[in-house]
Amino acid sequence: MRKEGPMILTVISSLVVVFSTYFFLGQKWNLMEPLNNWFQISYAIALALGFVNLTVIHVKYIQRKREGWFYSIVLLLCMYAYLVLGMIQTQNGLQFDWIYVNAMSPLSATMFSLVAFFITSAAYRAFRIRTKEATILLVCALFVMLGRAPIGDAIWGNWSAFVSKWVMGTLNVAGMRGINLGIAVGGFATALRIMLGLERAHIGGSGTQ
Amino acid sequence: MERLMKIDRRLLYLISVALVAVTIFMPLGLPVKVSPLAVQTYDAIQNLPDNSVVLIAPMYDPGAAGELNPMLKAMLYQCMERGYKIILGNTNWTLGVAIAHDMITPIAAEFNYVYGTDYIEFGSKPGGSVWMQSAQTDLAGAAIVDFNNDPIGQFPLIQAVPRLTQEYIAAVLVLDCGTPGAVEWLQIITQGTSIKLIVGEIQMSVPDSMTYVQSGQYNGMIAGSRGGAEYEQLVGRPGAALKSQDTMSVIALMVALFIVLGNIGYVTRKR
Repeated sequence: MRKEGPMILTVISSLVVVFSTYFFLGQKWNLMEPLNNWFQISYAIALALGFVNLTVIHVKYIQRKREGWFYSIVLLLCMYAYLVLGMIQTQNGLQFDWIYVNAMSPLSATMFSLVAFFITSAAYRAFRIRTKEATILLVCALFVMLGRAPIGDAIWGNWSAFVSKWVMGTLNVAGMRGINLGIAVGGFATALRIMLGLERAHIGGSGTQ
Repeated sequence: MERLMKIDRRLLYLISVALVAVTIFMPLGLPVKVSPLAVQTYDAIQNLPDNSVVLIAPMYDPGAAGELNPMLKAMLYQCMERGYKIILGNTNWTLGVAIAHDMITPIAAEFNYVYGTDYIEFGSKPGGSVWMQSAQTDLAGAAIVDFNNDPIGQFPLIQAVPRLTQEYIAAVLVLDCGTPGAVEWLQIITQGTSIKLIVGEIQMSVPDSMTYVQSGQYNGMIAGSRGGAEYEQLVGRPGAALKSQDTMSVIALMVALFIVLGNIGYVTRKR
């Protein structure tokens, strides 16, 4: 029953979603609303579960003095101190809010800013005209990169916008549509397999049947 | 010549920093031509019916703020100049609403917008697509409290917009940098309705989003920092995006130059 239970639950939930989305009666009965509420509750429970899981893992790291165990202490301290502060002050507490905005914002912005340097270095190292395909890719990339900045207009005039637009609007869109269609079909096939109980990886099974 | 292939990455970083610094203090003042896509986006917002209610969703975090903040600012100006009522909030991007709150407060004061009547902030709600589905049937029930933790149902604007459907909102303006993002708003809220979907996109996501623009599912898109600069000009509020274009230009030129140098070294070595 450990595996059958979640499987039955998955099948029933997915049938409710399909029925509520594609059938008139399903929409009329609004079956999605309770399901959405349950999802929100499950989401909160999953968050709590993640919290417990992180605690267990990092307490083990500290006990065994694994490499970097000091960071586990920092993680647990931050996690629990922030949890307690949040429970005392609630969502809009002054200090609770201040820490989040003034710590998370610069950290997040800093991480993303570093990407610019990595991209500069990576582009220089990776873009080599090793094959015909790589050469086409390189030429397109140069045109789009310069075409998306005003310097492209300054160098090539109206040609810059034209070429950049053609690459983005014709070549790129054709490729992206193909990829998106593939993803959609793949997603549909996977959903169907899950609904039929053929795909069991999500319930701890060996995967496919 | 082979040395051209092995330029120290630290030198690249140093040149990048120097170029950014120089262009900030000594701008080149390169003109930024406005593209048809930017005009289409501007018009899509400008031509909404008078007194429309628009939902603005800042679905991003500080990592994408450099590109998306200027777009949000210009959008807020355009919407308030047109007198639209604004519902501001998102799902799952908690820092996005904090950024947007700091931005909308002074602009609303400039236009004498009254909180709760002319604009409201419902904050960030967990749930992604599922939250959107709930808001589609009962906005006050899905949001419960506003950004300041006050019961949201008491405000006239929310009473006038009981759900996120075409009867109540004219457009959804999404500042998008990941998932959940514009695609989820499209799938849940705007697809098959008369609600316009206008997207501000980071440059990295533009190739993917372009497909939705061409298919007409996005009624407009501000494409990356360059798009933001074009849009700022159309709104008549030149700002951070326009200022950043010189930096964008010299960095793009530098990267292109080093790619070419690296390839000269590569070809020479092969021979």
